[in-house]
Amino acid sequence: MNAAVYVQRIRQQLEDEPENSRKKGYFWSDEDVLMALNLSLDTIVQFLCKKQAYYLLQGLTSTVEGIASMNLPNDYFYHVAGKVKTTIAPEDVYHPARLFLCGIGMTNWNAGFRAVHIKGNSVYFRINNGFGAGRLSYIKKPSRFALTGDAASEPEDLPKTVYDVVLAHATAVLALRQEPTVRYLANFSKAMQFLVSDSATQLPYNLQENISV
Amino acid sequence: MTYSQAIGFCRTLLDESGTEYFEDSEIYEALKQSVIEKAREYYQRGERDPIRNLWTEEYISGQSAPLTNQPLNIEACMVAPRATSGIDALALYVEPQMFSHYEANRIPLSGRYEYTFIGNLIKHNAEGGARVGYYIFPTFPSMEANIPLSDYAHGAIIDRALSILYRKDVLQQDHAGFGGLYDIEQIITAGTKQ
Repeated sequence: MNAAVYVQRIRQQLEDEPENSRKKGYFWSDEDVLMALNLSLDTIVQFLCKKQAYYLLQGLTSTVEGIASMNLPNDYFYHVAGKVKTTIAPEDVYHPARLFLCGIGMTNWNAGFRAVHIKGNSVYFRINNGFGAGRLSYIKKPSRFALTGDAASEPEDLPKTVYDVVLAHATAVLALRQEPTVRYLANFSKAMQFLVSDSATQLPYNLQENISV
Repeated sequence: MTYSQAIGFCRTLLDESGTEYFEDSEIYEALKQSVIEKAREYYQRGERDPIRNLWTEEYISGQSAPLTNQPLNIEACMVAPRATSGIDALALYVEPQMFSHYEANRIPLSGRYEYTFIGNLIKHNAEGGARVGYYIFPTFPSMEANIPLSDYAHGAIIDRALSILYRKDVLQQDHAGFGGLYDIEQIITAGTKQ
């Protein structure tokens, strides 16, 4: 996604603009700001996945189907749920399955569960102590912040409120170098609390036009 | 993210004294230590997804065999109770000194299947083979290699590396604060961290 607006907003919050009379020229390069934004994006999306805040991650949900076993998709970011089936009635329709990661899947391999096992970079669909067909629901990798190239033309896939929280976190991280202060982390903490606590009203709320310089 | 990219971002976040004081090799060593510490931390917290890329399984045919890789943590050891049966019994870990008491007789202590890990050897007391599932100890082939943990853990790794670097330096109270910047839970519940 195009990061131009977000880079500009971070520079405004950090008072890092060329015309600033106190600081001549940019303190942070575009690459520095993009790196901070992308790291914050991954961290916050993973936090939302752990909190199961899927109402905020609707643009990132995806599914993949396979038989017996398959590699994880290249855009896999975090697991959600799984379903399995066989070709023999009455198991020939998808049933909800338990989802096991790595070692826990190993100890439950022959336990007879309807199960989807994720081990390393592979997915296995187990039913009735054998392999079956399956479907894995997962969260995709969010599109990266970029200023040029193909990544810059990808659409945004998260609500504006999530990107505002990402921006607040990236600002707090960068600010620690130039001016150690609690203000940016306090702003980020409040924004994050709002994001995970007020699901009913925050989705249509667009903060972009309301940001003050 | 490769280690050299992480070194670049670490250098971006180091304050002025750190930028001139730490060389790339020192930052690289701090990143290595950070990867190991974070991998252990994720395992102990029960979070398997960040260390998913470190997972591997090996089959051993006898009662004792070395593992191909150095393990970070051995998650499970499944054994075949009889030479002709399938590998479907869970073996429990016992300390090496306890396992050695009855190893010669191959009599399971209290009737359960058990395994131990001595040096780089896996030993168990079942008749058949075993399948061992474990997380590989992170390796660091070069600065251009990718950090083996999941992408969303890279921020926390850089954060830990910076706090490691600053602990090596003097006048810590003059440095920027690191250690927890990418721990969202901590920031929300404990307030701000300076």
